[in-house]
Amino acid sequence: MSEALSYMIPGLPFGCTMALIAIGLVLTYRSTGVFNFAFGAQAYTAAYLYAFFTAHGLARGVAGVLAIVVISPCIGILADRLVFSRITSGNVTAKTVAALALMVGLPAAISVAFGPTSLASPPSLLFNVNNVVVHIDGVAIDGVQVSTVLITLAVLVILTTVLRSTAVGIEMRAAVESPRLLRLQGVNSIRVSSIAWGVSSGLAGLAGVLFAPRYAVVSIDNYTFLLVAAIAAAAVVGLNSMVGAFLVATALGVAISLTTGYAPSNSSWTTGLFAAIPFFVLLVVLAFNPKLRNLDVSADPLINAEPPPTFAALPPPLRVVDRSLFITRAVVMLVIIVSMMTWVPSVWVYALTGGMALSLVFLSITLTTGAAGQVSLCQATFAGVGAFTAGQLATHGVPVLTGALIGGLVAAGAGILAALPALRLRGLALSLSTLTFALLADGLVFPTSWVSGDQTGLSIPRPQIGLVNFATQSTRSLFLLVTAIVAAVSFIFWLLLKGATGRNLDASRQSPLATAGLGFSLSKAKIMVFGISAVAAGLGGALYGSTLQVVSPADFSFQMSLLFVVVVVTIGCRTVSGAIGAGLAYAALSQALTYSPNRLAPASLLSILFALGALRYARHPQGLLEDGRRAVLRLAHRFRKFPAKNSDAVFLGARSS
Amino acid sequence: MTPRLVVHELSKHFGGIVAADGVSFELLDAECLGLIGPNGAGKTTVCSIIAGEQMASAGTVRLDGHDLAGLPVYQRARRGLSRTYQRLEIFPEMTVRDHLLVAQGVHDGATGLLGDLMGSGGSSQLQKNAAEETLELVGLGDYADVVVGTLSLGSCRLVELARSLVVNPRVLLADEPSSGLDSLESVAMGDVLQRAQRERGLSIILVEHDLEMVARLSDRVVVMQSGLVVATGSFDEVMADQDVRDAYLGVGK
Ligand SMILES: Nc1ncnc2c1ncn2[C@@H]1O[C@H](COP(=O)(O)OP(=O)(O)O)[C@@H](O)[C@H]1O
Ligand SMILES: [Mg+2]
Repeated sequence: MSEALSYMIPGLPFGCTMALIAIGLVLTYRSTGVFNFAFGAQAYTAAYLYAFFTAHGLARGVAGVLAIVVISPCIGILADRLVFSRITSGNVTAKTVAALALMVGLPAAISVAFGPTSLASPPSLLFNVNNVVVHIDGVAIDGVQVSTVLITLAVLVILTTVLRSTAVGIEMRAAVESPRLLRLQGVNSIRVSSIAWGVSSGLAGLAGVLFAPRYAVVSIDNYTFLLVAAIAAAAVVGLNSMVGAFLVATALGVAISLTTGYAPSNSSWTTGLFAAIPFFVLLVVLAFNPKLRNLDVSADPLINAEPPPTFAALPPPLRVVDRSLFITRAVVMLVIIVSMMTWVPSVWVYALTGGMALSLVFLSITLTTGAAGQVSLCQATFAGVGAFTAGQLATHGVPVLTGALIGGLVAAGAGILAALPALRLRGLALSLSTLTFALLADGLVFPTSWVSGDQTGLSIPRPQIGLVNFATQSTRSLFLLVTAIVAAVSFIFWLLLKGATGRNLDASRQSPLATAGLGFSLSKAKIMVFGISAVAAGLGGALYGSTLQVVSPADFSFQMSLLFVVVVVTIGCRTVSGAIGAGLAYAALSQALTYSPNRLAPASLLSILFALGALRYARHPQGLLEDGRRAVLRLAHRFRKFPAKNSDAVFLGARSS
Repeated sequence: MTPRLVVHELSKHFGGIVAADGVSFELLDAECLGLIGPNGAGKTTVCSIIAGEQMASAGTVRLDGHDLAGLPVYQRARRGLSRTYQRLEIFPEMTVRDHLLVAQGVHDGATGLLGDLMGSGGSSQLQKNAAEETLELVGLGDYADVVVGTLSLGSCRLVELARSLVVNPRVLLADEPSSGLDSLESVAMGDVLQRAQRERGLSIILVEHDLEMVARLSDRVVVMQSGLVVATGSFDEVMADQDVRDAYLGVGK
């Protein structure tokens, strides 16, 4: 009994921290319609600042108030005002992308601002970390555990009382029912959403600060796990009940702690398996709870009262412009290739070859996110499957290009596997399901030695074609080879996107209901999209690995999936050229940033740049490349003497709004 | 002769709410059946069950004698069910013509992958002609290349209708086609529906609040209230019914 108890008790404070984030998720989702993936990052930020303040001599109480009550809520309210409140309520993709950008950008901003070295963990808010405060049935309970439970309970009691009894609380609960109704009643919805964001961000900050002393250093990875566990808890109650989320989170915390305690300590895989409990819970809930299926279809009774979204008229296309842009791009590509073959320094050739290979992974995002409108968060996982397959086959003597092709096919299998639980999901639920898939691969599959080799990583040789061995050649020739493969795959994707497949996916992105109603099977399409995109990603991952020559799980972790989505969305997720542009831009920027002082954390700078770019998605889903095209078009229209007959029709029926 | 569509004892519960309660009716060839009733009567629910978007709690739907039970939305569509939506469902970034071409491509069920790779995934001349014809029918001929998101609500509703009609469905479920339109646009909408019914032998279930339009188009009318069918008959017959008057004057508008 006391053994079980000794395993269960640490789970309680863990569950409490999780609960704080879960409650924040429910609160913001219900009152503003945003599912904030960034709460983990916000918790990390608060913990980091708290650790920073206390390390610089600030009293714990002052540091805590500053991090939890002042800075955290400010971050949340700013995010709401500057980003989320400007996204129309139906645009789930934009909300997801914005939250991901925040999730990627915030920790990066911390490491740019405070330097890339991690901070030692801070003291506990109350009591002392190592002091045993009480014994229960012989089990020692330390200061962090006691303070976590006490503070969480206190905060929850205050929160519930405020929601139950004050005018603002009643407005918040009404906002959860119907934001529109509230607006029609003349309630200040800015205030309501600011309060929701402020409070939930404060809760996340509190979770972060309470959670930090449990580990040696303040690390973002722990917070990501916390976030996913909290998502699982919130999903179990259908994102519907704060009290429910609290109870489930606590139970989940205890369950994780209990099972991990009993796991045989000599097997890291079983430990990983038990740590993955929340992921399994999330996957099962997503697959079987019908409430989650309809997350995006607002149950708001007044949805019909909202006018249809207005649509900005585009500048009508001009053949001259599109032709010259095509020629320009071809020339640029040619110049790049010729330069790469001749004068470009070899570190740059190496970087851009990797970028070129990655553009295949980015193409897979063009298909899933750009065409089908689903934010898949496991595309790097597919790339990893391809890379590890090619690497393992190579150790058995299979030529690497053959291995890469097989890797693409194995990845397709993984893609279909990832699509199966998500068959009836879309929007937010699909993103969550794919994220879980990536986390399971990260936790259980990729780290095993039969996948990724030993600690030093898995080596993937350079290809050999006939007598040409790319290992002995300079990287320049490898660039040419990779470019040729990318060109071939891009051409196939271009045909698909411009043909019936692309048109149908376009339709299903804009109205799944109507497209199904015309005779289109959304499930079959999903399997196809995931299968095909995974082939490209797997092939790209293998080529990327062959460029690097050695890969490890970190190269294909879920963080990479998030970053990749953010990168592609910034440059342009609707076109094939957007993916290639994204690959080259990503590689070129990373390489350029290596010249910046190390203190600035170049990798983080890169994340910040792309996160900022992705924040434009709500207004500019087409990305920077297409923006450029439209700017040229507008310019061209301005210089044209006579307006064309046909093009004016575009504006004839325009809504006068 | 079997009726084109048979709805038998359809029921649907949402928790405690009974949105449809033993709804039965038949739709004959080239018939227009008005389905009316106050807001919340369950008309949209009946449409979505017929279309397969929602599962009925009980009851059956037969199209041309075949039970549709268990068939997903897309298969029902391919068997000839087509609908328009009370809440507009358009593809705002696409042109009017593309709406019709998508409908045809999807309905004809070509998987497209190989076709796209061979460069033959586009629409056939036959399909293009049919699209032009339907655009003329609804009066959108001049707007074929306009991006639909920029059109007025009335035109958007016509686009939705054209998209439904272009594949020559057996049954059209028109859910409040005139909602949000002004009276002139409503009349035009009614004309289009009438022509589709007469020229193409289309059977229509017309859910509509505009009683003038219902009176003009419907061969028969079914009146629902609180999930129940309260009257069936010709427009004049049901309007003479005391229950119907109560339904409209008492609960609805
Ligand atoms: N998804 C749903 N969940 C819960 N109740 C619903 C849902 N859809 C419709 N209802 C309820 O079912 C009843 C019938 O709705 P509906 O079919 O839309 O009526 P009508 O189209 O005649 O106005 C209403 O009371 C409505 O609130
Ligand atoms: Mg209705």
